[in-house]
Amino acid sequence: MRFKYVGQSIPRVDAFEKVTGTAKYVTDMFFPGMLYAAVLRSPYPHAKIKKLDVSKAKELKGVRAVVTAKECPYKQGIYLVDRPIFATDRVRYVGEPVAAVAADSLDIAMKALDLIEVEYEPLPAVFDPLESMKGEILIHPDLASYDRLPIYNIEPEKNVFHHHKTRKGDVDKVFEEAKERDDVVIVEGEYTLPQIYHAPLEPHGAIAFYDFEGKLTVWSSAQSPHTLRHLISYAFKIPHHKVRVIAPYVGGGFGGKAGINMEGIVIALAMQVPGKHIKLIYSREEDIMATVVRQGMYAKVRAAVTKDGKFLAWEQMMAFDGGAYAEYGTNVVRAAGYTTPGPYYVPNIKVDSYGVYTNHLVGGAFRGFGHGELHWAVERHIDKIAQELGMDPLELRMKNLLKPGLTNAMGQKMHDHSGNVEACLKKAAELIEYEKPSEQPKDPKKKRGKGIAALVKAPAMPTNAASSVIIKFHEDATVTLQVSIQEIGQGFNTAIAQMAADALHIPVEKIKVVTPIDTDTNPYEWQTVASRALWTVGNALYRAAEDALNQIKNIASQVLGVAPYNLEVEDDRVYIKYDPETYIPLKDIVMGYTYPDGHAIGGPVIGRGSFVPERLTNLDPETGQGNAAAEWTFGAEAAEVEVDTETGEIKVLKLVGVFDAGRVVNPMLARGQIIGGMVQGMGPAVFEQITYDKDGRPLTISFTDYKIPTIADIPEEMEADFVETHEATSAFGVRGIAEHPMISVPPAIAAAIYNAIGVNINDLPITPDKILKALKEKGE
Amino acid sequence: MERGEYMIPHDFSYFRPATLDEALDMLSEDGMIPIMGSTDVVVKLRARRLKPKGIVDLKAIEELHNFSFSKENGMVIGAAVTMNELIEDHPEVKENYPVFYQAIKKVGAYQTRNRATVAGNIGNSSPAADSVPPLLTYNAKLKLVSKEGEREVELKDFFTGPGKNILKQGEIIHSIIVPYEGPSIGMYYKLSRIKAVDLSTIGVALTVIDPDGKRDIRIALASVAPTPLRVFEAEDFIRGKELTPEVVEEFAKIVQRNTSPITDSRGTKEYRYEMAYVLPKKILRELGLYKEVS
Amino acid sequence: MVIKFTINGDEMEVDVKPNETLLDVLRNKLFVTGPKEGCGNGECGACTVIYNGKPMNSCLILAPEADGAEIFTVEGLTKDGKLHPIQEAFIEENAFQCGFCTPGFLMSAKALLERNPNPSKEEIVEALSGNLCRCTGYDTIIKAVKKAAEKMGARS
Ligand SMILES: Cc1cc2nc3c(=O)[nH]c(=O)nc-3n(C[C@H](O)[C@H](O)[C@H](O)COP(=O)(O)OP(=O)(O)OC[C@H]3O[C@@H](n4cnc5c(N)ncnc54)[C@H](O)[C@@H]3O)c2cc1C
Ligand code: FES
Ligand code: FES
Repeated sequence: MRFKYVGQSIPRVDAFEKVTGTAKYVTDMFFPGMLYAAVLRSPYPHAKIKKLDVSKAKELKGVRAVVTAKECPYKQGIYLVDRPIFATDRVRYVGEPVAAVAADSLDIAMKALDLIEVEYEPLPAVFDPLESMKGEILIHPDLASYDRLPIYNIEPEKNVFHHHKTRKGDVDKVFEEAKERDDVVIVEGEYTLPQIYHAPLEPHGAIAFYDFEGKLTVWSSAQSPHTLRHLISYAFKIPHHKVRVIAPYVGGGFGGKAGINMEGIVIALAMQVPGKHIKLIYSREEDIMATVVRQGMYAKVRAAVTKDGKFLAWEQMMAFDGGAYAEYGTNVVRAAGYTTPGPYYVPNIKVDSYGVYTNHLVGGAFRGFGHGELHWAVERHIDKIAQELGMDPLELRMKNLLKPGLTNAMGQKMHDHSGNVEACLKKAAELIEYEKPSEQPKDPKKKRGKGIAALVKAPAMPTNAASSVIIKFHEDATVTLQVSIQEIGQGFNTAIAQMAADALHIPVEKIKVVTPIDTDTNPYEWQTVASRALWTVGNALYRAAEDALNQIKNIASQVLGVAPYNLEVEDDRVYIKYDPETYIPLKDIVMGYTYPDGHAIGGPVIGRGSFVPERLTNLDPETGQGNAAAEWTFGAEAAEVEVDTETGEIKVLKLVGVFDAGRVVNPMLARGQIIGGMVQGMGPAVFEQITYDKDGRPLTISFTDYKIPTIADIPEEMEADFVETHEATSAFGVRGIAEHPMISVPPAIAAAIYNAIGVNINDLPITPDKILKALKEKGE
Repeated sequence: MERGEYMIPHDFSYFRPATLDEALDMLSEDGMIPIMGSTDVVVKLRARRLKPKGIVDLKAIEELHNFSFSKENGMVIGAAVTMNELIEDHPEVKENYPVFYQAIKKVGAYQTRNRATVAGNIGNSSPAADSVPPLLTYNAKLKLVSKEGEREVELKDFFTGPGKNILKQGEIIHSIIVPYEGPSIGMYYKLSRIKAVDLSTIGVALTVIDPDGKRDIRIALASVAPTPLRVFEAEDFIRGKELTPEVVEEFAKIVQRNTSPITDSRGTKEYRYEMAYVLPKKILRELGLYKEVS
Repeated sequence: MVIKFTINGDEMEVDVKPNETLLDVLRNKLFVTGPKEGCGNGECGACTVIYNGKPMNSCLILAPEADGAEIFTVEGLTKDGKLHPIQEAFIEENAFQCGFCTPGFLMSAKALLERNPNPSKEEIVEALSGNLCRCTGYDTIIKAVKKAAEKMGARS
């Protein structure tokens, strides 16, 4: 392919709408006679519901519907169906929906909540995944009977909703032999991180409308409209063609708006009052408490390394604090499991990754999908190994990279086109001037240092996660492109328009990407997740464009009397390759060609293309060997920080991120992903965390208490750069970069802190009090 | 029937009297509360932490918008003067009360300060109120008025606990009076999780009145006790002493000893306690008032 | 109670309740949906409007208070179908992604440039620190405001 638009920094196609306030999000939609919903939530982390009486609420003037598990006994779950839409006999986290009301106004709905009588009997609760794995308190006693995809491996007696195992080589043997070898060291370490919150600026919202013949329409701030439709259809037992999901612009998702979330609540209400629109927009408090958060994690690592720095064996146990329901957590745990130990080659690997139920907020998908977690442990541990060996941490990394010809933890072989982590690390090192020690500030209480970390992530998706594209030509040879990847800010609509322009050989201005996504009209797309959109949709688009071009050439070939392969489409015409002056205007072809005498041939050109990942397989449940990853994005990130040794305050001075993108479609937007992702990674590195009181009630349920970086918190300097190793599995040579920038910022910052003050912080976030404590322990 | 989507699920009435007398009349009734910028009040209404019968908006009352400064009478801040007005429209604030100026610049965001008032900050009586520690060091007083009359109280005697103060039903803060005791330097050191728009983990106001003359050092803290805390004991200790490392050390220890912090989502009690010792020294050093021997 | 105010120069009369905020009224009664609700607590700035010449969180203003006010929202920025220089600069510098925070940022930026046509980086940061953005990492927003200042300087 020849690239004219791919590679250009064209402005966003949604720009005008977004700067004028005309871009519509679910919250901006109103329907005549619309009702407003409010939700009654559990105040307990774990309790039996002894009594639930909604009769008084029903009587309040203006209340139109009240639902509980009695009216809506359905459960939902993407891979494991464990989450009731309304709590049935028990509640499992603070914030769990117990009942919902629809009323003429939100304030009536909220007043009605006060009239609902609930009696709880508090149950003992468990908040720590390791504690929970002891199985003394069972959060889902019936787990074994839940519907689930068979690739997930439950251990009901341990509160485990998935246990992933990797067994490559023979780790035990290496550790055993290492005892006898004096050229090998064994290094152990423990690493943790708490739950964190996505904090999209737009809270979750949905509007549902159920008609009298059983057709359901849902407007939702959904990342994945088709999967949402599928899950609704499954939970409410409505056939797919009677469920219509419409997804306008989404005000940030970061994984939290993938799958099904709070839609079930409004659907249940809508089904009570057919013919009425029901709107539910979560408050910030509800958004934090009752959607999903990123799981917390405890990790224990043991590595055998030769004294000259070769990794021989890597053993890693991760216990994820999955909260009350598994959600995407099942696959997060699996992806973290099969990717460990990241972008490094180790011949012997043993990984146990557990998704564990606790009575915390529900864990789910979050930008990076387990990789921020696994890399926190892996990258910190490599720094620890480097310290024990007295070796430079970058040098140690360089010695163990996952390079072409070597196999990863799943046994997949890396190819020349698989991406170049070495080049990423080198560039990141250059950008941070790794070789040059930080210049120390005049104030002797302040210390500066630099650190670097690498990463890898493949799309974590089912083996058959499919995409499709429809290209419609119009009378004037302009084009609409129907795809169902959601524009959540990542810039997909712009990039895909650029790719379509190059695939169709027409100007980008002539292409419009259809919004909002409507599952009744848009073709199937699995989900807007996993940094896979340009890769997977690109491949479907390539086929759709071929299809459309073939149709055009077939019609033109009849008109011009030359073989289709001798024709070329360019801009506004189709011409004969060996006689470019002879052409037909595209607009005379794309609706079919009409001869001067009036008779017509062909018909409207509609290109169709679909794609499903090639050659993926499930993993062997005992060894984790197989082909779970279709392509990998490697990257490296580096940080420079300043630590105030008196107060423990950390100032991140500089962040750099370098990623092997295959091919950068829109440099300006790609840079935006990197910078935005690095800042989103910085928050959890130094302050973001969901905290709970001793009774398991979340404390950080507003922006007053849950802080995210402001404009005043960003580093002085941030740089993004790319390596471009053509991706052979993509028609456009591209691979994803959207989640990756968030992944290794925390370990890079932790490494920089070590470089500055010589202490290791292994528990996120790296708050001032942890710094001071560590300095004290070190004796300073 | 009311339709729509609004987030305060509680009915109350709203008044906006144009005169103080009217306002005081309304406020004398139980369940009526005053508002200025409503930056604290609306948040509490939404969270249902406040369920007033009626709200009396005092912003239409002319006299509450007064601001004046003279060396004789000090600074008088009417209750309705916003923090941004103090920062942008009245250079006297920065010039004569630099520590107070630094502190109000650190309150919330620019938008917040376009509404937030010092009277509201005091009326809200949070231990984290940023404007209060510096005002304590400047010996601020409050003019309180009610239907019954008016009284003047020392700011240090105003607070009785978190969110609690000595105001009686119907009594409002009319103005804040800050004596002018001479030129001052100092620092408001606010430690928070993020650099902007966060309540303090700990806030320390250290003010030096007449730095080149009698050098009167004063210190007050936020977020380390049930109320904002001025530490007279430490001030008495350091008064007139040369600032040797030993003296400063002892000064910091006295400050620390007087605090009784708790753990919350912004910080642990141990960290706050530690900082109550570290920050006084750090501020003195950063002000160039003493050198640490290293 | 019935209150009167102007929105982007247009006079409006609307019946409000004391427990509605200005943001509720703008969005749900007048369907002026440019200002967004990101928190309802004054913490995110998505609801920022220019209120009597100053940027404020419309979620913290009780609706009756707005009687007689002059309110300016993102909807008022474009004139005769032409973008305001701040809007142009936001597009050129890629200063938004999902766009949910953008109406608020544009209001804070406009108010800043009106009181300070040539702000330093520190002044920009101070003026915008009450507007949260989870997508961009902010650096392009700072650049966009600088660029807008240049454009506006050049035009006046
Ligand atoms: C996003 C955000 C950030 C914030 N950041 C900070 C911060 O960094 N530091 C900080 O200290 N505060 C902060 N606050 C809290 C708040 O803004 C301040 O306390 C502010 O000074 C309150 O002033 P106000 O005029 O808005 O008060 P209101 O909300 O109008 O009133 C506050 C309280 O004082 C009472 N009151 C008001 N006027 C009077 C009067 N004249 N006499 C007696 N009582 C009265 C009210 O009844 C109420 O109880 C923040 C708030 C928000 C929303
Ligand atoms: S909605 Fe007003 S500041 Fe967030
Ligand atoms: S662009 Fe999404 S929050 Fe700012």
